[in-house]
Amino acid sequence: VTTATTAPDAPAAAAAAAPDLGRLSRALARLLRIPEPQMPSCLVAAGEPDLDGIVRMRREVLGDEITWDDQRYLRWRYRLDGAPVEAIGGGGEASRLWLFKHGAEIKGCLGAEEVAVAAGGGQIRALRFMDLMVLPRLNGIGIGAWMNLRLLERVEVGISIGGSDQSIGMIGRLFHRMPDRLIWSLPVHTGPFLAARWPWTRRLPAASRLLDMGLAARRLVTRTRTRAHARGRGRAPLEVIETPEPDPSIAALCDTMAARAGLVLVPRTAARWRWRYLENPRRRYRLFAARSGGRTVAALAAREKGEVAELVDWLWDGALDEPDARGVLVGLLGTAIERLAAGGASRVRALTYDALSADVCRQLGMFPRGGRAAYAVRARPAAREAELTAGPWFVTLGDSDGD
Amino acid sequence: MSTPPTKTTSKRELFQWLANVFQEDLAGMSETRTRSSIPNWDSMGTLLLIAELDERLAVTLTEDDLKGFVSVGDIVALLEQKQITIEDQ
Repeated sequence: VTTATTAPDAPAAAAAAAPDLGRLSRALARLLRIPEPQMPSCLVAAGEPDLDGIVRMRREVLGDEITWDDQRYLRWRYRLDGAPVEAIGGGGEASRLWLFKHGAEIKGCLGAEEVAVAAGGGQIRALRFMDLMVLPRLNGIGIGAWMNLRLLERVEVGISIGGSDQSIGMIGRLFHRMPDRLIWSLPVHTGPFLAARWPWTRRLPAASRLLDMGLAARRLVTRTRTRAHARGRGRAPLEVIETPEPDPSIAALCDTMAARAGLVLVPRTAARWRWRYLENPRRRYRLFAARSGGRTVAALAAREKGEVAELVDWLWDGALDEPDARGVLVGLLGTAIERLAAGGASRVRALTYDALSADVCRQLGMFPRGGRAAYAVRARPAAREAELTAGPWFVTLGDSDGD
Repeated sequence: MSTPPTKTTSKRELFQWLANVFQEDLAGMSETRTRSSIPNWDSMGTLLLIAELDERLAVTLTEDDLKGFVSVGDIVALLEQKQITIEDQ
């Protein structure tokens, strides 16, 4: 039996043995009563004519969770209207929604984004997988695993993110599972948070207001101290502004994070941010930039989801030394939190993978929340997988399939 | 995998296959083990199980068969239903 895990004494970053795709194809073909030679043609890139079927399947899987115009969203997200990759800020032709389709029935789908990974001074093409969905009656029989394996055959590097217990298990078998990402949460208006846990606190609105003021004062002290520390080091003052357009220096910031700070990341560009955040038909995003000494030193994208706001994606000048970078991020994320709170958010969330961002979240009073947020990489050859999994990675909510 | 398909097996042999498929210790494998207690009995594990039973015993499972699988005992019962002789040793 071919297994997907490394031996206990194998190096941590050794490539996991992939399950035999031919063997699994045979098994799945028998189960679904599909002639085995037809299996390869069951994986197709979705197009406009598939849209109704995809939406039907997503409604069956997600039900009432869909509160947006899903047709419009899918058309935009996966270029179902045949838009060129330039329309989504670049990438590659494999950036599509892939379907498991036999006859007219769509049995499952898997989103993919063709991206670059900046690592070790170079860039490597990779496929990032997301949005895995299978018809409920066919759930748990391996259609998702098969789709992942088929697509992995096409690339040297695959990146997977996993949310549900089931997808996390499957990811662990097909990819090199890396440490989970950290999810952070900060109650900025504690009333709803307290009332959900202790309903009697509704009778004490003054108490939650007092608590809110205490938390806000703590954040203010943190930001003030950080500013004073920067002044003491002779740094120019930091100005954080909300911007209607992505800052043009986004790609340059990514370059410094990879080249100077040594982070492994999927580079962002202003064009990509514009498509992903400003043209997003499902969610409203807000963009911020931190400027100092006449230049942009950090940028951030945030989104509002009812009472919850999320710090989705941020970048900073990787050439800054650690104390300066920390100061810039505290200023940027802290200011964004206050603006989001003023806009009505009662809670602010973030996701981190790198040590500096995690420290900044902690400094701003956010606390790590439970829940699994898997991250996994698979690469050929084994040496490349070892290099990529060694990291250190920079990952945010902007690298996930959420909106 | 080189073993030719057969219609007879032993519980020990079956448990060994299942232990391999689900990456569990043979010692912990028994009819009372539930699916929820076996972390790797997920979609990939199910697909590997289908392949294993097909290659080892020429048993083809159906979607309905899979829905009834909540424990190792269910696999044993289904194989017996499909005329597979499972010896105790």
